Amino acid sequence: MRRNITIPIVTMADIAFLLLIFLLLIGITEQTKEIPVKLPEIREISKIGLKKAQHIFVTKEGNLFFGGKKMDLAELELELEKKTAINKEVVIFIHSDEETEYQYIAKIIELLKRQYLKNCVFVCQKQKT
Amino acid sequence: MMKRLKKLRNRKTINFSLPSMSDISFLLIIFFIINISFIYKQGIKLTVPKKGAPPIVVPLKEIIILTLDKSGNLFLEGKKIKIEDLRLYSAKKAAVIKINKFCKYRNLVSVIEELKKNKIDRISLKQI
Repeated sequence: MRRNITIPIVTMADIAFLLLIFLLLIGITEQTKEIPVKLPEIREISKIGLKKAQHIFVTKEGNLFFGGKKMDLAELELELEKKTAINKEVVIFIHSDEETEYQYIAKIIELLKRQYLKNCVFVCQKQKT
Repeated sequence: MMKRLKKLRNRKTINFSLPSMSDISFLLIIFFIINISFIYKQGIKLTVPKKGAPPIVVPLKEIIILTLDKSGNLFLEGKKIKIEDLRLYSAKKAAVIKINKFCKYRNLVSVIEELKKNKIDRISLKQI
């Protein structure tokens, strides 16, 4: 006796579209508000995944930006405290202009130490040959 | 009655191909899944020591002490050296970089990159 197997295409299409909407929404919410800075160039780049990433932008004048907003060190510390309260394993990506003076970077590193944030990345770009 | 039947016969039927639509949607899903997994940033990964953590003791002979001045010149024990010369010290286990607070960030990144390339992963930064 031959069995007829029917594949419910309609429900499959429903599920496919729901997954698609879900993935699109994830893509949209993952966007970081980027501040234009000229990143320093290095020869060998290591690729670092953006899992649990928080981005700090530092301009060459030493202005700090976090979440698209300009803030001072005290405000940045409060914001980072809120983020680490939710997730202790946050990775801080420091996007600093190559002309930024070290004193501003030093303040950020001290802040990370105070917040017990051990993972940080100095974001760079590949050197153009 | 006849008019109604005629209307029904003239009615255009639109054929909707559901299997091909679900094919396209699955292809789009695969595309987005692959794209999301490829999102990354490029840079140098560092581990900042915890506040109050006990210092790691390294014998002095295994430490290289570098100084970066305001102009980005690199000095080792008072002598000016090139960044490429750091490869001669790849046997060292740790590095201390004393950086002038006005030194540009790109100079620090170049030195850290060169140290990491020569397997010196323990780097201490001190502002002067």
